[in-house]
Amino acid sequence: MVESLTCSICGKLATVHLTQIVDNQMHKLDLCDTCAQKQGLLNSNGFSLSQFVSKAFPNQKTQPAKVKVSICPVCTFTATNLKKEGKLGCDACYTELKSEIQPILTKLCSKRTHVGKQPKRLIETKTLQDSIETLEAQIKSAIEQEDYEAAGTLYAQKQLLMQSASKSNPS
Amino acid sequence: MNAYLQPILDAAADTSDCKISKPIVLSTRIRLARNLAQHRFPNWADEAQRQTVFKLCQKAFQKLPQFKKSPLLTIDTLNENQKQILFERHLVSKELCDAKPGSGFIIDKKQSCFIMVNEEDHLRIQIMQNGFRLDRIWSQINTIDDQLEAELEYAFSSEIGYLTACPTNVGTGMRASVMLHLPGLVLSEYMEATVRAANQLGLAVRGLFGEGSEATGTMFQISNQQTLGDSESTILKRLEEILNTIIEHEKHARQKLLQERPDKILDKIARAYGILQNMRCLTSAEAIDLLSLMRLATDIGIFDDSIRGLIDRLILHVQPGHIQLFLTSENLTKSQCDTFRAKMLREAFLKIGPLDFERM
Repeated sequence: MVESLTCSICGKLATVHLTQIVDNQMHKLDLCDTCAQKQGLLNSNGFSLSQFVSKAFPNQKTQPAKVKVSICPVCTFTATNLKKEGKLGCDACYTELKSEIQPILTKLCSKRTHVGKQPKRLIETKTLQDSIETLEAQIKSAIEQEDYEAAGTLYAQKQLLMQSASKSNPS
Repeated sequence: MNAYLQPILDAAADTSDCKISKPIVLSTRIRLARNLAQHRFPNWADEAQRQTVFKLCQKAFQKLPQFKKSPLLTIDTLNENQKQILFERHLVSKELCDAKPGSGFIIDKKQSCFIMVNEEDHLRIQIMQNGFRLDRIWSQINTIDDQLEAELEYAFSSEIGYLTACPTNVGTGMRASVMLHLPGLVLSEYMEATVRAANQLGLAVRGLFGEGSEATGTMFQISNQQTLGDSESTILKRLEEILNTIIEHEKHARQKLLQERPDKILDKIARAYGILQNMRCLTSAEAIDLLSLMRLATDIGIFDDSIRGLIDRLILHVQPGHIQLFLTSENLTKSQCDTFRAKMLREAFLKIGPLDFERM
């Protein structure tokens, strides 16, 4: 916010610019020396800018500072819901609300990575991808060595694997 | 629905097999939490969204050989007594009993595997068996999980594993627990120290009915707390090692009590037996406490080994839901239940016969 050059009370040149943050709400006020002294604003003990603003300008509504709440775009589950229920809304929440979930997982267990059983489909997909990556490296090497016949054979193998990969994972 | 469910409810006798009912370890259970990708978790879903997940799961179950002829039952078609019975058998949770429409469960033809749908997560797959059987149950549940995964797309992150409604279950989504009978540690006043040690080693210790329940009948559920960061086999191996230590401590505690203060423990058993033969009115909590002492009596040889299975069955039968099932009547007063319970136990212990301290 830009500081105003004129006093909020009398319109003269403002020399006192006050900012107060209470409960995430920011209040700003620009006053001249005289108005500031009259209001006792230069005495910082026990002074509440927000109370002063609401008394002096009763019609002025202070806008609450907007607090950002994490929300899962897939199921609209929020971090507030998580705090309240202790459970999540869907599998996508684990990605979308990752920063809120990490401390919970850390508290439960020092180990944060899954070790153990995996769905077979995932293993098959991973194996295929590893094979495709290996073939890509071999193709590149064959081209560098100008062995274009080998590169062609490897390329054909790679195409077959990519067809299998797209069949098992149509998405 | 009743035609399918009634035999399951009537099969109270099958929950404790006399042949495999052993000292100290009562039962083992493994539960996996799984969710479908791109569907809201049950607590955040509306009814239509829950029904969509329900139908997807229903379709998937039909493809599994173990569940082919089993219907996916909705929880709201069960009456309160039926829910209570399944809860007492540790087959459904309190959360499922209170769940919103679109929730349900399915039981396989062997009555070993139970899957809850739209409880806290989309799927809660559970296998429970008598005895100490972590590896065997893991092998069975892993197979069912693989079969379901082939039909449904699971919510999974390569970084933090299987994604669950509550972050406490993320990772393996696995909760393995064993129910132990620990009267030796309780009577020797070592149970508190045992619980503290177990907690420090990453295990949770709960009462007979899980979270928030009391330690009725000196029976405790011990389970892994953490689900993220270790593989399933590491978690199970660690749990087994610690449980074996606790079991050894329980055996030593019993031996020590019998060597140093035999009259203390035998007196407790004798008094419990006297009450069971004569009382006219009994609450389920007191019944379980007394039966716990009778189980200990069997373990130390006062009763024949074959009695243990019957005692385990009685521990189930004295609970409120089961009492109501036997009485086949609704709106029973607490007093009527307590009287019936007392009669049932008096008759059972008349058949079992007297205590034989010479057998020890």
